[in-house]
Amino acid sequence: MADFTLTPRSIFDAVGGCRVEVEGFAFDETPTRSLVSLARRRGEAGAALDAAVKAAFGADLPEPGRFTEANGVTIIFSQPGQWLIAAEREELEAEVRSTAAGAGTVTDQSDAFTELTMEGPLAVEVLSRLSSLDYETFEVGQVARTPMQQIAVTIARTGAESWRLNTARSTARDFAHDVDVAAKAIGARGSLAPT
Amino acid sequence: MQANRVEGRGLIDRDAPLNFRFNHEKMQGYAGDTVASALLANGQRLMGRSFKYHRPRGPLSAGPEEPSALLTIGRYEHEDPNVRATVRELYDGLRARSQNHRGSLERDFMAVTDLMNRFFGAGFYYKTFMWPAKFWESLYEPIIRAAAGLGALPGDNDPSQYEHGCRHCDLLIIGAGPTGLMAALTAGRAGARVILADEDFLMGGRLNAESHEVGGMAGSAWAAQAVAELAAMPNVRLMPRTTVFGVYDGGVYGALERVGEHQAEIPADLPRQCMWKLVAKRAILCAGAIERSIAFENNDRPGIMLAGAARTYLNRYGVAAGKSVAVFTNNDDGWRTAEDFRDAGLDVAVVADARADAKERDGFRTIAGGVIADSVGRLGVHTATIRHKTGTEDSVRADLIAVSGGWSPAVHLTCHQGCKPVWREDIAAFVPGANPPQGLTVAGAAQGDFSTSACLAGGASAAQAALADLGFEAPAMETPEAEDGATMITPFWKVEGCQRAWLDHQNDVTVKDIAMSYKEGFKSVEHMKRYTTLGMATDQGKTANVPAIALMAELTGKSIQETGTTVFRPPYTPVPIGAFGGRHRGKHFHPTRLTPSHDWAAANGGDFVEAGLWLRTQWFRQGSEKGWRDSVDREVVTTRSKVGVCDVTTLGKIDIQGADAGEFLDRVYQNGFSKLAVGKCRYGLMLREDGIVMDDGTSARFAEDHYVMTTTTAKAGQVMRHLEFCRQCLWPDLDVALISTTEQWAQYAVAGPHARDLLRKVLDAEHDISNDALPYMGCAEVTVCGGVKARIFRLSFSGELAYEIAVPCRYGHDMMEVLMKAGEEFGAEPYGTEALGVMRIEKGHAAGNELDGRTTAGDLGMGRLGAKKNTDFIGKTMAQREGLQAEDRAVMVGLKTVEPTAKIGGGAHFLEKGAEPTLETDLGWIASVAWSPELNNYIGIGFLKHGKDRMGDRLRAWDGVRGTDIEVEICSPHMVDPEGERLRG
Repeated sequence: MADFTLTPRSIFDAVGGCRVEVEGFAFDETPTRSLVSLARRRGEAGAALDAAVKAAFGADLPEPGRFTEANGVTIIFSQPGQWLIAAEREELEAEVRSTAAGAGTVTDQSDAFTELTMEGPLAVEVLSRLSSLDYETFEVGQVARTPMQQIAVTIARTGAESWRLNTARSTARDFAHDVDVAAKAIGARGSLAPT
Repeated sequence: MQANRVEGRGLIDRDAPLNFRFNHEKMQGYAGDTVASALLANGQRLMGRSFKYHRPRGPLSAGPEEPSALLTIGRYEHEDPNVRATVRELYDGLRARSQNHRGSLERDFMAVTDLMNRFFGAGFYYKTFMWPAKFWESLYEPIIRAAAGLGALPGDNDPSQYEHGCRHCDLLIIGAGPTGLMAALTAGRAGARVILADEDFLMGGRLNAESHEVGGMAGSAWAAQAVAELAAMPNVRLMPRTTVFGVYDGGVYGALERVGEHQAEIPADLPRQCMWKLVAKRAILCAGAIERSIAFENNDRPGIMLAGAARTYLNRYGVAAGKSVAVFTNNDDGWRTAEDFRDAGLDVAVVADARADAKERDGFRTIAGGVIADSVGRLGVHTATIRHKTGTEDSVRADLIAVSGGWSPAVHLTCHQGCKPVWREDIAAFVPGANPPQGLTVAGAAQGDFSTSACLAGGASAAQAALADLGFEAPAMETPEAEDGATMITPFWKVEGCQRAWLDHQNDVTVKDIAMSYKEGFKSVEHMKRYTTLGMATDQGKTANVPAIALMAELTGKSIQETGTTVFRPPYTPVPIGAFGGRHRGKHFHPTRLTPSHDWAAANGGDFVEAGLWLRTQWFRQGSEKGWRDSVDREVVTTRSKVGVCDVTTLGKIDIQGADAGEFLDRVYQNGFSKLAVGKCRYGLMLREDGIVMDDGTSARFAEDHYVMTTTTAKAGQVMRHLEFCRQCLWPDLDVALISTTEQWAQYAVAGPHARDLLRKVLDAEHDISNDALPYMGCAEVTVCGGVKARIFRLSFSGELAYEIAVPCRYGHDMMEVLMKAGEEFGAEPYGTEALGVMRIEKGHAAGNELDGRTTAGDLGMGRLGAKKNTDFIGKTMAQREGLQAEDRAVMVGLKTVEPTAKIGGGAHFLEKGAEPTLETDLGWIASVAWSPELNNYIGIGFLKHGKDRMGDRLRAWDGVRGTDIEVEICSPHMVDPEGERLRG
């Protein structure tokens, strides 16, 4: 008989969250969304996947390096023939599974990744201290998976000054520390910041 | 007293005085000063002692090429040795200390080496300290090191922060002198993304150091105006205080920015420096040129400096480096110093122009075809010895000798990918070769265009060419009017007959040493460099190389082109190791992976060990337990007698789905998986292509087309990569999808006689885990604690009745708490990796120590695993190689010490009694050892030749490292419950 209860916890719960704020930049964890991976089946079986996903979620399976969004559902390209689907609903896995039917395979990844956001005009500057990609020309709708200070991160530009990042749960505290140090260093430059 | 300031000159801010200290003396400078300019302003010419002879030295230059004026800046753990005073920006409260002297700077006891210089020529220690050889490390080297050298490291950890960053651009312009500014204006106005980097804190290069006009205004004013225009362009990024130090593949440039270093108080979060990776589609090197000296006797005294540097101190810093200057030149440029000093109202004692056809100039005492042959003055020059064309000599009072031997383009960055500089006779200088790094072009003085006018035009046209390449429409540029004098030069390297005439001021290499190097056969420039140390250390011979090459060319009778330069490598100027490390230091050297119950373990006595990037709990200290063995023994006993819980989240987990998932596993494992029943797990052994064991683990089948593989913690990433390679490259036709779920599931081993009782309390009631419903090696998807989805696997690494239960990571922390609470009535305790290790050794399960990249399935006693399978798998063929199938291969055995408490160590070798420890008598090795609380004996797992035939034999475990030699008895590796009754119970 189960007399015990389990409470869901973020990796940041025990350390008081991960919010970082300096003038022109904010970083935080987003409320937990469900996240599932969807892989296209090989051969003819997989051909039906695009239409099924579009019909169910209203968003296209994105091209490499892009993400699509509709009705609160985000679909992120993760590798050829594989996508990550995120939405704020508990039954997402079952939903995607029934959508994919025989055309795709589904794996729950909701707890594998921590979803984070960066906001503000200095976000590009902070990102330039974490990884080697060109964030000035990074387009809204674009997504990339890249090492940031040795930690793998999936990063998407959701607006001119807003970014969404997914990183592995086990290293998320270290990643937040890196963001904290980078942002504070930029903040400390103040008027010293290069023009 | 800033006695040497010249009123009305300089780009310093006289309203912003800065206090600083040199050794113990308090001094004052101004904002805009370097440490060197401020010291000279205060009349402090003497700034240090030389490397080998401890000769008094002052600055030779006013820039990054400085060999002599090296100081220690800062205090305590912030001490920074070998800082070039000529580039370090002055700040309020700065503390500078001179280096390399015993006693005061003025009275250095070690200066005795200068008197004995004839014994200390180039290569003297190679010849002197040859015998006895063993004295080198213990005696000679320490003495030489103490006597020679420059600054010393503080010895404390560097408390500074170092940042890393990356920026992209269309066009990177390196150097913000006239060339770079013009290039940046051109590209900026065209709308290209531009980065303009300059090592100086004030952009403008020589424009700030010269007195001539550009576009009808002071050169420095034109530079300031250009910088202001660039600063206002959103597409242009100015990076002052940033040295581009290296060129790497694919348009990547390394750059070091001084962020907080020049501030009196570095704010807590501000990095000292930032290491930039600059990625540029095109780059233009506008690094300018470096002036060189002429060799004459005693040309290294404080007060003897490059003519261009003397002008820099005067025009940029408003400092007269001397009251009376003697100029020594072989080109027109040197004359500018004479003119600027005269215009500033200072005394120009004499101009010695080595060119035979030099013309007398109005108002100057000109010695045409004459030279300065020697200098006089103990701690600084006061007299120059003039030698006329006729050979007669006379003395001239001068406290500053300004020398110009011509200018050498700063070609260094062009050489970083193998391009060799080319000698140009007309300007007597090396210019960049024909194949600089891809995407990099060179303009201005860096490629030998020395006039300001040519620099401005060159910068614009180089930018226009780059823009055209990149598809930008380049604007027409009007080049501002500027001087266009050709610098007529007649090469002149050394004064006839000089011996102790310095070429490399930093390493104390003289003309005599080059002659010695030649005489002893070290004639190639690379040999000469190693033999004499010319061109080594912090300045890398920026002022020394070309004159030394010219002298060697003279000696060998070869041309300078044939003689060639040594290879220039990154970094262009010194870069602290800390800057390369960035934030990757201390506990942030690499990321740390934490399991969901990490905090729980930390709060419950957990002691952590690094396992790859993971932190795992080795044991949980309880109460008064002193040593780790107390905890580990208790955890083993508890688990074997009651129940224990171990966090196994770190094991790799891979979700494998698709119609061909079973077929896929058949091909990557030695044994078969496609016929495994749904709801069952199986142990699998994975081989490398070469037939050696790669990894092991279990795979569970949850559906016809769905398996979950586990890997070891250590090999999780490697196995995932291997499987992806197989899927994508070897068998792209298979319908199989892979994704790691290591991060998704928090997994706990629950082991011991009460394991089932405990789990029954946690699982929701509808799930039956009786021995019939969930037998050994069964698996199921279940729910726990009122509907939380979970997976249960009946696996046992410990040999006990055991399960692994997995829940999504968000519940991991609470799951650990729940398991402990539910287990309270059974006496449950958590156990760590050490107890896990003890139990698996007792049980004879191979782990990382056994799967060491050398062992085969046969060695591990699993040669027959999957023998019924007749399909191919990775490693199958190569495993059949003769050597891997040899009869006498060492195979896995168990062992017990004959004396139960005799402590053996992993790595010991098996020897017969009485055998000498040699390669020939070696019978194998011990891989894992443990104290077994169950058997009350030290036990182990090893690999022994003909091991199967040696059960019960007594051998020696000989350990040459720890110096032990212990008798052991060979047994089956399955030392506890060999029949497996417990785990099936």
